[in-house]
Amino acid sequence: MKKSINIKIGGRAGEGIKTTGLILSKIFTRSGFHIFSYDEYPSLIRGGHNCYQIYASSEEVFSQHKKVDILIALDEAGVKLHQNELTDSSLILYDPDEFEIKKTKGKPLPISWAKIAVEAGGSPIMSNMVALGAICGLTRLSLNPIFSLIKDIFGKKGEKIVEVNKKAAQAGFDFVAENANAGSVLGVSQDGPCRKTKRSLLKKKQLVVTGNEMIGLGAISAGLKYFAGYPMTPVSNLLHFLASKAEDYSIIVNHTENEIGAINTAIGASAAGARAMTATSGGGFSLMTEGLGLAGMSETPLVIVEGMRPGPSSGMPTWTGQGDLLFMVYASQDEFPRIVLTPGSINECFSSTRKAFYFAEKYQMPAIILTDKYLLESHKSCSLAKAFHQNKRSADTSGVKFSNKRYSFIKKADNNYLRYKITETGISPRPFLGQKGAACLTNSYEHGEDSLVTEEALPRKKQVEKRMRKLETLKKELWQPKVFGKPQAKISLIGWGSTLGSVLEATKQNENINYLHLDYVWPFPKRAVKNFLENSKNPICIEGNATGQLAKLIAQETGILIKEKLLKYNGRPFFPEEILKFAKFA
Amino acid sequence: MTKIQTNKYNSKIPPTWCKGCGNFGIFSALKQAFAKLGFTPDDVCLTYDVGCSSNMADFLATYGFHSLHGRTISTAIGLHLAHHQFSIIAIGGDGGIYGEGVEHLIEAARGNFDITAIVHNNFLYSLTTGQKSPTAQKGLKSKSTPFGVLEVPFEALKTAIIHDPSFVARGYALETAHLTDLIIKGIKTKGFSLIDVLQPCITFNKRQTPGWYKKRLYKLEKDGYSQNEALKILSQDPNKLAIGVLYRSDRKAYHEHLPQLSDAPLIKQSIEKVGIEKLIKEFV
Repeated sequence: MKKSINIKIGGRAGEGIKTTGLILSKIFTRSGFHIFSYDEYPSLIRGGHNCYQIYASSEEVFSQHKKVDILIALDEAGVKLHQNELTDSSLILYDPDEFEIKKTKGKPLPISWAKIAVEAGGSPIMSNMVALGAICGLTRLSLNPIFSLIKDIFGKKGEKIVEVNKKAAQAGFDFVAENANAGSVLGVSQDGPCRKTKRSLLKKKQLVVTGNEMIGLGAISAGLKYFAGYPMTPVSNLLHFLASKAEDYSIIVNHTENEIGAINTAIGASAAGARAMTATSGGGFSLMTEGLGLAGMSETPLVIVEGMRPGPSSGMPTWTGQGDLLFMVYASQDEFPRIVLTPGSINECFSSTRKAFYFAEKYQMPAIILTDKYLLESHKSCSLAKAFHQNKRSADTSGVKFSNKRYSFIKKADNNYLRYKITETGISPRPFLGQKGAACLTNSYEHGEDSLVTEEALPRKKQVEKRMRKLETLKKELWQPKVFGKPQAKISLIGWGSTLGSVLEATKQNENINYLHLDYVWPFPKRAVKNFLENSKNPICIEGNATGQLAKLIAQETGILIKEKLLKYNGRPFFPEEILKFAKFA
Repeated sequence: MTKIQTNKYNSKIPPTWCKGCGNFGIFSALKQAFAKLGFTPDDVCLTYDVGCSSNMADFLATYGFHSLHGRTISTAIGLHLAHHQFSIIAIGGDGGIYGEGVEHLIEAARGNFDITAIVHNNFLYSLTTGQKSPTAQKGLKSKSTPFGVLEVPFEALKTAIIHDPSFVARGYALETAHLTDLIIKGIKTKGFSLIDVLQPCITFNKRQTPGWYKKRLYKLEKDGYSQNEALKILSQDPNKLAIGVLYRSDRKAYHEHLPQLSDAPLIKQSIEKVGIEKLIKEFV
């Protein structure tokens, strides 16, 4: 029988909620559960209200859920703020020495964790550890995973710190055993929701990763050599991750003076022959737009990660959205080929990055990985075998091979080497910087085959056609986007990117929904989309923006007008509950 | 003096600059420098900005990257980091390097990246037909400033010097032998080399003519001065323009700090097998 639990930690910024949340996520995965964790935080360093929620289950989970079973309220504000997420059987853990709870849904469970931490030989900052111990008690999890995590995290700080933290966790665990009949409080059997789990899951190690980390892993394994970036939520963690691994993997990570320096140095490094990448959010991409065109015109491979957040302009830095779809497809002046990948899961973050480097290098064009705060920063558990290897169990079924072979370089320069030679595929092989006999100009101006500037009508026309032809050649290597659910369903949803997770969770409770997930939006998968929509009884476009940008793209590319749309643009991701509600009345 | 053969550096397009343009002098000095350094066209890469200076992209047969306006130095830094043993020269004008892309000049000086930037400084935007540039004097009447420039000129050389790059010099387009020597020194110096080249623009700059320059230029004698001395030289009577090596530093170049580059240039490092097994372990 499926067992699951939804636990939310809420408090002020600076109270270690993210760290505590990650530890709790790993307590569950090391206990043999799947998790999906979602966080919300304001654009502040101290104060405000942060939260981190973990949905743990005995089967794989793909998104967060609305209704919270246990709320760990580290601040008073959280109790009020999260009332809509509580039910009568929700448990609210709080420290009665900090504040009182006068009125709330659910059942308050006072735990003086600051006091308990001190009594256990620690200090009030170990309150979070006491709370985690209490959670283990309430959910009937063994303390072994939390003890091993404490050792992993605090081991470097010495045996004393490890012991004190363990004591704090034990004290929280013991408190629950002595003071709360947890079984009846939670309204479940004495076994607790998480007692029995598959032995096989315990054996297989699971990772807990975010989208940023998977993109970083994908880039490193694809042979990334130069990364230039500028801090911007929600991609800053990618910059931090790559910077921390730069020396080990012989990658140059350059935090540049600004986004324009990032994209232009990346293009320079790429033109020399190094695999290069940059990452930013909408505002930074706006600054990089001229550079994008430079990559396109000069035919220099470039991988760009764009992590969306709500705009326009500075918008809501720490929230999520899907408002940059058309921006990515059309950005920069005039026309040139590009590929826009839109991963929907952490596994796809890895595989899309591998693909991006392949396509960018082979077709000498920009490859954009378009994702968002929700996917970049949420933690999800995944198995090693599925995510990183291309085998029978692989999550990636596109047929694009993960190899670090080099593409579209010349082996030896012949006499009269032409950098922008007109070819059938549109691809003109290029040299590495310094290659003998191949000195040529990489050019942002229109050029002839010999790379020198031209303003002549026919050479211009031929180069435009050559560049666009690359896209036609690339299309032959594209895979069909996947339909999740029954081929024929009462309600058919179509969407892209991170919407996938929430839809998958919704379909668990409603078999009458199927979903076409677009993991790339350019070149546009016309045939698959047309097929799906023409065979759908009730097609609905679901996306996180106000004007239905995917629906517009579908109309443009297939001629099909989707009338029903489920749009969300309040900075939050889709919740399975709202998809189910919409489906009920559709 | 024996004439050194420099035809091998020419592309098939002859220069399109106005007759008498200072760019011819810089073009000649560059090629003389290449020849003296023993470069083949495959041994050097120039990045270009947008403007008359950067039309040179089509006249040279070396490796080149004709980049965006203001971004020549940024592109050069990227190329350099990918192949730090290769000679990279960033070409641009006062408009691109001191205006549109000034943040990259500052970054280059602060980081001390091992590239040579040559600024074709004619105190105007010429290719777009004669507007003021960052180095234009206050009060200059131009197409975009008919009532006179209100800002004071940008002090590029001083800005560079106070950030301690390896080499800062000023040359003059019509003193080609002197300029050739500066270019060779710049290329040979490890770290960021900035060479500001004063040049007449016979079409749009009617004030700063060769005659005007002749009255004001003088050659520096030492191969570099201290920071204070150099700043003093640049702050003296505006009618005294010093050319030569203004500043030298032995500060380490950016790439010399990178263990990633201790064995081989980035592009010569194989990416065939990259194992991430040990990385994955930290996420368990």
